[in-house]
Amino acid sequence: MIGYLESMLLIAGIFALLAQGLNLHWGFTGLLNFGHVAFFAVGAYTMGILKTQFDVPLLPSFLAAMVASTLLGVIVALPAIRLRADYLAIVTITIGEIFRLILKSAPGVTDYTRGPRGIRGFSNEFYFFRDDIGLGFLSPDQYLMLVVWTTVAIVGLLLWVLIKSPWGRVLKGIREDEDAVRALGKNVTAYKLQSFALGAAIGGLAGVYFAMSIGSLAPDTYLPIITFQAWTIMMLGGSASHWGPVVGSIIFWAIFNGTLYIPREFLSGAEAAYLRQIGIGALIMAIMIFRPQGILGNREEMVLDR
Amino acid sequence: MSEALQLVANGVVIGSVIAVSAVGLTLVFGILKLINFAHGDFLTLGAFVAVVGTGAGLPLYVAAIPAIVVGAGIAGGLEKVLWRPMRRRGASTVHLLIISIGLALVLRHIIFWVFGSGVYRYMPVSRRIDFGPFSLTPQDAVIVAGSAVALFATALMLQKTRIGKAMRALSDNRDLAEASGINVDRMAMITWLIAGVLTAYGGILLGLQGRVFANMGWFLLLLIFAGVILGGIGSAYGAMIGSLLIGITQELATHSAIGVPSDLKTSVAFLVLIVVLLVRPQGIMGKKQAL
Repeated sequence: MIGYLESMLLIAGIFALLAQGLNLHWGFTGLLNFGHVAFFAVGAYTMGILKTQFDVPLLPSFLAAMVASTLLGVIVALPAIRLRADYLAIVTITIGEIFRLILKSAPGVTDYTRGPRGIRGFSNEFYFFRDDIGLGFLSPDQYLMLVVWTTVAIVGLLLWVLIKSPWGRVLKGIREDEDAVRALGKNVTAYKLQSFALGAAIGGLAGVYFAMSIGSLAPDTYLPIITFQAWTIMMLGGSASHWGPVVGSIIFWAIFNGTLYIPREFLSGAEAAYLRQIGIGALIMAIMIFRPQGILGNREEMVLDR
Repeated sequence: MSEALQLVANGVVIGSVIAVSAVGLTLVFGILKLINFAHGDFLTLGAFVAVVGTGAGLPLYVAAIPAIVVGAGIAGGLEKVLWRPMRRRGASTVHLLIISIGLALVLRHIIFWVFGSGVYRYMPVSRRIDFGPFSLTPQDAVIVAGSAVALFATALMLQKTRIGKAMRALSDNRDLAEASGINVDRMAMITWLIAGVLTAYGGILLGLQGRVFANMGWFLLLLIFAGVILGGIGSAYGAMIGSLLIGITQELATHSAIGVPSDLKTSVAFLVLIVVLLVRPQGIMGKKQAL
């Protein structure tokens, strides 16, 4: 039971963070980002490559991971953000796939990413660090869990302050009526770009923690399903709700990891895995059909009706 | 040069599959303003029903019949229980798009659950036949011919029949079409049935290349999007041309003079998709006001 709770809360924390970034994009700004996994991957890979091949210390490699995902966010957003919502969805999911294929097999890039074989051995310094700060009594998972949830709290607070600020009100304005905000003389594209970049940075940091939790990096971990999971979590908890990603993630992973305990006599491992994916899909549909605002969201804040 | 010709031939083969699938997707978009992320999994479904048939000893052209019936049945059934009620409630494009992503996950993993992650085939792929400057397997030749027949039939339907005219009218100007007495719900159902038939048929053609597996349609989906958007979303003829161009582009990219590794050729097609959306979002045949 303790083991279940620990591993569940760890992965829930990582995905809460990922969903917080997505919530900034979709919940608060109305940007339909279906390539969130690319930021998750670029954060993880930047940290992994810097650690294993350039021997960069812990904190700089974390910062570099966030900078790299911010940059990718800007690169994706600069051209894509002017597109209509459904086109943005196609472009972002496509960029996520291009990115995965490049990590996996682009000549030159694979010298660093080691292609499908992936990267290992980048997490020691992070885990040893807990002795230096007097947390040696925690297990590696407990320590990572503490770090992740602390980050979720800090990011949550930051987003809360930002969304309350005039900057956040402009974002919400863009979500509600882009033209009206433009008519007020605001540079809509710049605001969208900032939202996209910040959400990407948060996603990148989530990717770093995810890599730490599994201890290795391989391109085929970063499939579009990660994006869909983050979407499910965000929508389940409630888009545009600050507690949404946290609540959604805990519920999602409590159920998801719970199915790992179904005895093999009833369901083989592969069957259970397929059943989980069917569950995710059915959950997405059910939320959208019956309660698009999720558990905590506000129907008035949904941009679906436009 | 001969390398290039061979690659173009390969591109035409895969482009033909994409084209049949793309027409269904773009018709649905034109009438319903729905970007259907589950479209690829409709393809897979068609191929698997055909595999069950050939596995039972039926020849493929007989096994294709239940596959097409199931494809049309699922598409029409979903229109009745899912899309129509959602439209009645005023669901937007984005709302429907997210639902279709959930639907795609459900469909694909039901197929995984039933058939597992193995690779099936209708029959062993035969040896290549030399056509002079290029060579193709007989299966490839059937794909191209089968796709051409389906596309021609679709074009004929759109141009000559009342239904086709109503579909084009709806996709051109919905309000005007409705005002002139076209029954939108009825047309939506017909569109889904046609799309279901075309998509199952496209799935069967895709499987003719020799590999039927649960992810096949999902892997093709982004290429179908690329074909649709390059051609101009909502335009059936655009989708045909766009798909062929996408197929040829991704194959030619692997030419030794260009040297894209074949693992990366789909990313070239994806890149075309992104560039088109940025430079000319209405595509080759689309109209600006449709956006």
